[in-house]
Amino acid sequence: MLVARAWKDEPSHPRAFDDEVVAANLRRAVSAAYYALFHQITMDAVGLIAPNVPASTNHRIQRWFNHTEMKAICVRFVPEKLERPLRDLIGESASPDLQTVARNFIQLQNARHRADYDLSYDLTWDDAYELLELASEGVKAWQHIQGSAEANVFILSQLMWKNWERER
Amino acid sequence: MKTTEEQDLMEKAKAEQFVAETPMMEGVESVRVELDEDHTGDPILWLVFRLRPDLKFDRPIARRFNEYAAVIQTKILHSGLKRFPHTRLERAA
Repeated sequence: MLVARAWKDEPSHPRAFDDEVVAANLRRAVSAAYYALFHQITMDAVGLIAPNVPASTNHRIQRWFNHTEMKAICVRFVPEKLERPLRDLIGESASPDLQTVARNFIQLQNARHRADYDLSYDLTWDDAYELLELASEGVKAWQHIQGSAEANVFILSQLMWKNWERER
Repeated sequence: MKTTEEQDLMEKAKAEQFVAETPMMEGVESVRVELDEDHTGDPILWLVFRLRPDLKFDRPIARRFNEYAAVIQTKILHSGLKRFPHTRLERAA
């Protein structure tokens, strides 16, 4: 649903807008695409770590997740052979779906940062389509593994990594 | 994450090798590799895909493109290179 919202942010009649409005809308669509995947993961995280917390306060727990740290943790899930302690927890490597989630998250976060803060970034329609599709694929891949042991380890890694590092 | 110039060149050459050995998607004219940093200051690779001027880059093509780019990215990531491979698109004149 969130990705559909991102696609909706895509301006559908480019000739009806002037260039600056189109550029602003493309940037907003890229930002929404990143947050679609971010919220998909963090909403599931809240369900895992705080199942009885009322939905109205879930957003407070979602704020525990730090964007930069999430990117750094995603990097740990993309190698062919995982390092400890991940290897001990989920096996030799992450599933292709989890690797897609991690890879797309990293790309989208960087793109979102450029779209929001780098005014020299000449974001094109091609880029926007590519990035919105990355979010769509990332969400689908996440839904394939939702609730699995590796997905849960991925979520817990986002919050617990510093504790786990002692095991290395 | 610090990198040395020697390591940078090795990573770029290795990435170029993976690009060269992956059959190019129809509509992509060429691919080049650039070194850069991401928004957090971590060293990255840009895979810059030059698209044919007449390619209609709609949602189905974007999906096919992402599959193609993911093959190259996975080769890079699985080879142990330290720089994350980001993608960038540009149009041939």
